[in-house]
Amino acid sequence: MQDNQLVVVPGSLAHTAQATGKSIPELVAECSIVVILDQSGSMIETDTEDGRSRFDVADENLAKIQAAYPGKVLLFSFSSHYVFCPNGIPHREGAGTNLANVLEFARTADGRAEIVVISDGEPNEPYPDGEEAALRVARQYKHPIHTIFIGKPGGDGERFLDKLASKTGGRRFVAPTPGELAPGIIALLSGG
Amino acid sequence: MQTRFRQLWDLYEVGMTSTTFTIRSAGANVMCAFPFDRSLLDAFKRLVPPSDRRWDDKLKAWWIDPRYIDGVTALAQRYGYIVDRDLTNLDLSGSHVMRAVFRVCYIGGVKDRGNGVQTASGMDDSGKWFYTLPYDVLQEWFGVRADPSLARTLYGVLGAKRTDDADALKRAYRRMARQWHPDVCHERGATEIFQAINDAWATLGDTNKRQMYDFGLELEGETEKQSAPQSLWNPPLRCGDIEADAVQRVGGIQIMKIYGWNDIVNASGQVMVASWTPGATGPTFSWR
Repeated sequence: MQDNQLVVVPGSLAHTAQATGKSIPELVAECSIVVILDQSGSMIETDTEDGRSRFDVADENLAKIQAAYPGKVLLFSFSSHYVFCPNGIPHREGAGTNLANVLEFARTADGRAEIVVISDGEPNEPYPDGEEAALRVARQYKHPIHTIFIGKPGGDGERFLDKLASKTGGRRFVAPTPGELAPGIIALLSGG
Repeated sequence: MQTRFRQLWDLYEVGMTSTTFTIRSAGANVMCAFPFDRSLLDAFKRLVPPSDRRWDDKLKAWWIDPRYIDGVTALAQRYGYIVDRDLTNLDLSGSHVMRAVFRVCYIGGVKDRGNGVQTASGMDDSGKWFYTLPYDVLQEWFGVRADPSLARTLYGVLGAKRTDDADALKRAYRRMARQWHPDVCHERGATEIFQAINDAWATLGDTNKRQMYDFGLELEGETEKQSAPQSLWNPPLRCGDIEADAVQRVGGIQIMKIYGWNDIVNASGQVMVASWTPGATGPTFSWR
């Protein structure tokens, strides 16, 4: 799907707000899932089954998740900066990977919603050690941070996400292709 | 003050003729009375803006701001009237600010009076529209002036502020639920407002949901700048014992700054609920 053809994803907070007349903040209060989605430069890779970029396939899977849990998914996309995406479409920044920043901002949701980080690589911001910065913030969380790795298994990216989940008691899932995001998140949230 | 108004009316009635334009004063209030004359009336209204005049239906006279005394005098003379002017009771030093508790039994909606003046009128316990409550004074009391977005949030629904603690929020909810319960409140939309109050409490009364809601407000503020509401915001309460600074003005009391707003309670401890049924000629009052 091309994101310039879709203004609001069905099931997103904005779509649900239009349908119900509730405000975005009211829906945020009812969210049960916080998805933190990597939109760094490496997501441009076209290693998916049908040759599309990881960006495009992640969009499609997120749409499935939001349709499955309408009004329940609070979506942040992040690269060097984080962006709140009430319309359900991640913002493609395509720059570095600063996970610490968005984890710090999302701490309000700690214990109030399931936190799921979806990424394909190790954080490289803030310089000099983005990975340690992210883990430092994660250690302040009182509840689990679940992770879903996108990409070729066995690399440093997967190892980092494993560590992030284990430090917080979260569950881990590997989605070699973004096409497996939706089942992965549903599996995580349903305990499967 | 009511006694002084009655004295003024007596003076007016004695002196009125078909060609007399009468001007009297009582403290800081100035009254004008004249026979019906369409052209004079139109000229009078052009001279004295709506925010500075008020028709008193009981006295059949106009209260005006004292600064228009000379202007209306000259106007009446131009139209050939004999001006009967007695300002011996004029006391502008009495327009000092007084602090007291004012029993406002019904507050109407905020209206634009022209010249950028926006006010709500308040009814006293005799049924007279005696009070003027400026829009900015009401906004300030309810926190909307400092935070315009508050009016459209769940906090605004409860007449509360984002900084209120749990106990203050609970009190706000109980007060609003009591004032807007459809069994006793017959205002237009009372049922929907009552439901909104309960929905707001369902979120703000839960610590976790409140924190997520506040987070949502922060997110909303980051992603969009909503345009200011086009319609005037109306205060969420319709009556109360209001502790305020006020001045005498235009035949009534103008509230300048609110310090406290309590329910009107009778000797049995019941709280008054005031509402105006659409189509009715006046408000109704219930006790709960």
